[in-house]
Amino acid sequence: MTVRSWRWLWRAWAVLAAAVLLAPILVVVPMSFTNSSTLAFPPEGLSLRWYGELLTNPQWTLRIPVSIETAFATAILATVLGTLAALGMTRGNFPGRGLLTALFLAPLVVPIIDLAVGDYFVWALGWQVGSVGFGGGLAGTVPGLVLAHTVLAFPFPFITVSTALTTVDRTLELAAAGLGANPLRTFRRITLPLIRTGVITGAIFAFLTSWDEVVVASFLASPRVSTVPVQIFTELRQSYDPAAAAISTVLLASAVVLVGLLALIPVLSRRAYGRSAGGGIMSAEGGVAAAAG
Amino acid sequence: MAFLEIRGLTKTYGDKVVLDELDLSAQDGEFISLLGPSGCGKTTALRLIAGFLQPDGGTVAVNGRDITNLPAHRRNIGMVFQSYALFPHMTVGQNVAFGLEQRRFGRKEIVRAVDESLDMVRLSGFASRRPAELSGGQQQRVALARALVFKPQLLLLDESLSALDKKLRVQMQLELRQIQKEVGVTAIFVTHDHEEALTMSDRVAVMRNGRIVQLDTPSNVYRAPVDGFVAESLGEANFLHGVVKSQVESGFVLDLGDGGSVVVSTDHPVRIGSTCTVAIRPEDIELSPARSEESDLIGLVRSIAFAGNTTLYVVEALKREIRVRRPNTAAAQNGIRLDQEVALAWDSGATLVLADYPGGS
Repeated sequence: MTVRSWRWLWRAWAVLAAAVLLAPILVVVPMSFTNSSTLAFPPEGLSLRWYGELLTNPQWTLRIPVSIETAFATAILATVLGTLAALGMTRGNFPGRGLLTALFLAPLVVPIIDLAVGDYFVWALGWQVGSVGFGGGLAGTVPGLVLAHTVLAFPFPFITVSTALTTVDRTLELAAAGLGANPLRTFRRITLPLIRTGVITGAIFAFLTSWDEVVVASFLASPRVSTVPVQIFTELRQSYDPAAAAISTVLLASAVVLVGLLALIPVLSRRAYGRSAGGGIMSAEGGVAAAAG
Repeated sequence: MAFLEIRGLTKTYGDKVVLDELDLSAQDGEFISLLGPSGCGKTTALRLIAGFLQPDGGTVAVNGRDITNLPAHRRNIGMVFQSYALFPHMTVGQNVAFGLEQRRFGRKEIVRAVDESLDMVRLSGFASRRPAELSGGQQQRVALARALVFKPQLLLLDESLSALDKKLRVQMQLELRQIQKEVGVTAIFVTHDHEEALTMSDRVAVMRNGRIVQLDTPSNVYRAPVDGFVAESLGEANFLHGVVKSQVESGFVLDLGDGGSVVVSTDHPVRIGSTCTVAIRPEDIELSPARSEESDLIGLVRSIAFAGNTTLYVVEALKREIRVRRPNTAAAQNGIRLDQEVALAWDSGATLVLADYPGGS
């Protein structure tokens, strides 16, 4: 066989592998456009009735805002905390830095079910140490979900911002100070714009972490306050409701859009910074890939 | 009281003393170079003046005001970094405007001042460019404009020209000095390039091990170095170590051993019998084919290296190697070849008497 035909064989193999991996994800898309009242593949007929269901049935209209609120609040909180922690870890010079970094990354490796069980007890019953109490009454609330998801999402902005910070030339910050900018202004005008891509990347990952999280959310959910992924799970266990496929398609689309945004960041920032920028983004993404893998 | 007064400035990292009770004062409008090898503390001194580091002792005062404990952003000092440190996410204009914005200048005033200062560094019309679109020399000039636009009390330059290629560097040396004179700002310039220091400065401070060894005008540090370190810091030098044999009119005779001796012209008081080291610049030595026994110093040419406008000869004489640098003018083509016997001669005033020389002859 020639080199050329080998190359085609490999390509075909790659396409096949990708298809096998993607098929279970993509199968929900055609199924969501079915006209029948149960989930089936291949779908029967073609309609948008299940998307309409999402906008009218209270079991979805109540969940969607909760999911959106939780994901946005988680993204903001995790990104702010992750950025501050990354600043402390990369710029600070104090003993125990390695240990603290390991703790910050722990949510990536701690079994999520342990976290869920722990969260459930503390959030629901509260945690009393001497006169200091925490939690209690947080289960089944949006703030409770946000706090739990922030713990899960925190490592992503922490990693992306840390990576971005290592690419920022410290003399730029000295230069800003020399020109009369106090530390806060230096951060806002110099450091933050330079690590912006890392911050945005981290925020997107944090958003997605909360957006499709099901384990912790199902522990903390109540009949009144629950998230979309939890509802999908519940629905499918009870009936083959095609609305679940419709909302899954919406989740999938939102994830694709956000990840597509990530791919756009390098292009946009290269346009903004001139030729020299761009490396920071690639390495920030590399950091996440390494941590997730 | 001088405009810039540094007293006993000390900085240590653990056991290592980087800056050892440094004293330095500069007059208003003066250009002073800190010259020394890497690790001599010159950059540390600059960063202490800028406020990027806190000293372990000593004071810095500008215009009669002690600024030792003032944070960097309140010092009103302009700095040009070796890497220029231009903000990559801002345009040239935004970079230059940054210092003015921090001082809450009005919009109109900022625009006018930015235009003026870009004009000063011959970059008018570049305000909307990004730093990455500029050449090294242009970036350097933007950094200078940014450091001067808010009329700082002091201008600090940290190896600011060393990233440029040789030709551009020489041009920028002159340009930088001219701008500094026009603006009238007091400048401290850190460099490891002795030619740069000699060309640009009103005074040169030669530094070693966190101290200033000599602070004087360029011609004085070059022509009257206090010791061998300073002599070598400012250019090539041959060192001759010997014993004072006799005193002659306006100088003395130095016995180099092995029957060789040189006449040294100096008003330094010397004792007969004491040891002494003198330095001779390679370019001060005349070289001619040895014709008679009369010549003081006869040597053998060991190597010849052509270096464009000069040629470097290494001559073995008095059991040591003496470096001789001759200009490559038509008149100087005296046809000296390898392994030829040559006579070395110099004006007795060209010898530099040194207080000491580390490491002996």
